[in-house]
Amino acid sequence: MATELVSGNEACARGAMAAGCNFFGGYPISPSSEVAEALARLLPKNGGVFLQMEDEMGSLGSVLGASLGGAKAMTATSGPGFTLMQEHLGYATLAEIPCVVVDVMRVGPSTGVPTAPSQGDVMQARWGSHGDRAVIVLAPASVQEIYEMTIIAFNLAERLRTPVVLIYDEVLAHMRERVELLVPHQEDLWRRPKPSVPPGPGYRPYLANEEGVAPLPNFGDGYRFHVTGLMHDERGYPTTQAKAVSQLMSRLKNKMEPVTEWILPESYRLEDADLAFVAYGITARVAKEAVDRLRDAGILAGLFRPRLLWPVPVTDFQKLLGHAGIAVVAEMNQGQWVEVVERLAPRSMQVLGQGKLGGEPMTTEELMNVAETLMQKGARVL
Amino acid sequence: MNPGKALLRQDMMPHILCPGCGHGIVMSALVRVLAKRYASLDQVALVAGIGCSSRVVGYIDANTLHTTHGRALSFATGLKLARPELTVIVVTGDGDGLGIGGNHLIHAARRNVDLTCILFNNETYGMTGGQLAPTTVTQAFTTTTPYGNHESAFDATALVTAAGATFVARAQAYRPDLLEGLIEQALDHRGFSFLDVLTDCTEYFSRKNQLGAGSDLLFSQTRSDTEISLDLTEWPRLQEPDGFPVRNLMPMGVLHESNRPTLEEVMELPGYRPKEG
Amino acid sequence: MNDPTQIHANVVVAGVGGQGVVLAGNIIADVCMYYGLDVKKAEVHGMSQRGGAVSSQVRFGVEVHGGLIEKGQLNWIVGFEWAEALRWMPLLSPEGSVFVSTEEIIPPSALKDRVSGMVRYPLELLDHPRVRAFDAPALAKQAGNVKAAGVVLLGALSIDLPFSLDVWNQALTRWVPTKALEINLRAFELGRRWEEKAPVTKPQPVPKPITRQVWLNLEESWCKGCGICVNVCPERIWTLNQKNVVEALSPERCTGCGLCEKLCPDFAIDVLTESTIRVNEEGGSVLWQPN
Repeated sequence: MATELVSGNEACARGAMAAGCNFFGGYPISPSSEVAEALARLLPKNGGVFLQMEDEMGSLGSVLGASLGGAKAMTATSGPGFTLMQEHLGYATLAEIPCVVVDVMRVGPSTGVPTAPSQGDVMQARWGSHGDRAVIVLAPASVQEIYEMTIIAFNLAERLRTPVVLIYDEVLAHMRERVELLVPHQEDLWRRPKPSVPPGPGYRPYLANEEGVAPLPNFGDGYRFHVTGLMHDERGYPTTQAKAVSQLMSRLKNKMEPVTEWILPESYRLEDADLAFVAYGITARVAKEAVDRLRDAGILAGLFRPRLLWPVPVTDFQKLLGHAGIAVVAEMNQGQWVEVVERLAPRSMQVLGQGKLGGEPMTTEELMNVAETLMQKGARVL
Repeated sequence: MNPGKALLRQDMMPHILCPGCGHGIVMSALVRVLAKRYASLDQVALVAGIGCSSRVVGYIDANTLHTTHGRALSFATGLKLARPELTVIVVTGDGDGLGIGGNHLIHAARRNVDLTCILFNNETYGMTGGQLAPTTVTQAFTTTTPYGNHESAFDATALVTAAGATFVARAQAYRPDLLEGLIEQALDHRGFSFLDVLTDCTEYFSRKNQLGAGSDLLFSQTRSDTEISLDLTEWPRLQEPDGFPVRNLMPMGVLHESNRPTLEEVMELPGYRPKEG
Repeated sequence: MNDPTQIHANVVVAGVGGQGVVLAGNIIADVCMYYGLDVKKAEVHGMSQRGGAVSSQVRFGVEVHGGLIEKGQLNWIVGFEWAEALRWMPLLSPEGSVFVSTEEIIPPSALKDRVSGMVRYPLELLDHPRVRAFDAPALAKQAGNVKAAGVVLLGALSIDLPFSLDVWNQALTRWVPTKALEINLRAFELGRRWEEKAPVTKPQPVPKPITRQVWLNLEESWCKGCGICVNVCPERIWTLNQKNVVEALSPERCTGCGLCEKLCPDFAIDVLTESTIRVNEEGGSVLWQPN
């Protein structure tokens, strides 16, 4: 174990190496470029391949090709590039190709403010790709967590054979923090499921295992099979049969279910809270400070911090937040995850979205002001 | 008997291509070569994009990857660098490879990754209904050029040669023996090899331009040993007032060959065994 | 017979189209005329591009009345192709002799059928005591061009005739195109020494049977009726039936060229030759096979 002062992007690259990543295909974009720069140094020294592609479609394309060859592969990008990758994210979901995509969020839409933080890609990460798909989106809130969650992202991607998106903002990307670079045990690195039958006639690559995952072999392993972005049957052959299509889509959604049990949210002083902040990423850190300071001022505040934005940790949300009267959803956008909270909140709960635009991070004072104003309007004060 | 027929996924046949489609002839030549060269396709990967051409790979019992529109070469590049010991063949079309995927094509040529790209060039977007392609000749009619194409066509071979491809050739469906030979040469080549194969779209391009169907279409291009003359004004029906465009002579065979280290060699990837020559 | 101005003889040059039979007759006639002889020459040619028979009868003497050689009056046969030489055997005089190339050029008309490749091609008479057969093309190749095989045989003939080498060479110079003259002069010289230079070979008494066989296999359910095979088949074997599916009208005419198979976009046609037959063991329905 080494303790170092590293930036969020550097921690991401180090986490990838610790997870066994051996392929990176990417395209430069602020504020994510340092992930690529770090892996350009690290990968070739450790038997991996670093490739700078011609654009973001190509980046994720090369990652998916490498992954089918058996590589643990990833890319990193930011808003505009993430948009260009959406088609391949959908492809990876349908074709069940493990990969990790890091999106360092910056102010948008369009080129926006390339060097300023935002949390504007939360819905893009969920619904950016066309069609209907289940996704895994992780939101770390510290440099340490970026390191750890990069490893987790690879684990989830491999085990469930699906793309996993890690989103954090420009502040975390460039913030330097003391990080314990824990080297995971080999047994803690999940491997992609492999077929349990030998190759031969009748072999069905997309016949799911008990976790609902297609245990695809790697290309070149002696199993010859077909991978397509068309809806396919268990043989991998294209199909337009409504039954086969709906079964496939259900399976791809259902296999994500255990993720909410594996990646638990952080609950901070929620037990007796009247007012709960709901915040993720960098915003959760100021929310946490606001909780302490509000409590010092006599307001029973708490924090619910989802580490997994998608799929939504519904059970945890209801268990931990159910009794708070007010939920303040703080995020650096015009209100994205607040829609989730509104959907899940009991009728008795008042839900307020607290957005922040313009590229400046949320401050503790802002959140305290919101809380105090709300409580003065009639919430119970200790 | 085409020995490549044994390499087909019999349960997927017959394929979806239209009656008389030149793509089927190119596919036939491709599997014939594969059968000749490889005892097993375990170590052969066929990567395709989207379109009529790209559906071809699904019928071949190899490691087959039907990717997204235009991006086959990026998947192939990642696969080849991750598994340098594999033989990677990219099957693409003119819309796929030169339109939406043109950027990947020139960069793959520039990188000189050791893979083979076969571009099925039928001058149109067949799968979507016969629209204008970057290879459609000037004045030709398509469903999106009802008044004739105002634009000029790409010469794919010149493009990839300029981009740095180390083997560039042109063949056509009409001459399967030449085609087979060039596929073999492309596979023999160490580095990025590119083959522009002229084929025909019977359902759309042919109809819109009154080129006939089946064998008529196949024969509609006059030919010499070294060049295809696409001078279709020889066709009486097409000598009507606005007539069909005169297409330039297109050179056939190996058009460019050079030798420089592959990306795999430069990156010193373990597992990569460069071919001779 | 030793005085070149008093000789009286008949020569036939026989071969197939393209071998220079007519030219060889002209050279012989030219030499005779140098010695003041009367020469009459009769030729059979035409259809020779396809390997048809060509012959040149040359009669010479102090006075020659007719152009055609009668039975038993033929003194020399020069066979550029040995089966063609055999046609003239009945006319050979008891003392006559035959110079013949062992080259076999089987004319299309001798093909019994193109499917099996069996031929009618007589070979028996080559054991005739007066036949001097040797590998003329081999000597011509030594001279520089296999096409000069006829001149090699002329060289062999010239040994039997009383005409001087100089006169032969002059005739060659007049008749042979300048660019090929040097090779032909060498070929003539080699022909004169054929007994020491050429390996004496005799053709096999029985031709090796050619057992080329073709099977046609049609996967009807894969055929989409595009009609490419119908139009590319040189033998016009295929047709489209009422269901717009291809059907073999006359499969026995198939020569196995494979054009339909290679140009079928749908893998519907297999042309099976001996080397690929084992593929058929899978049990595909064989449309036609030879008896």
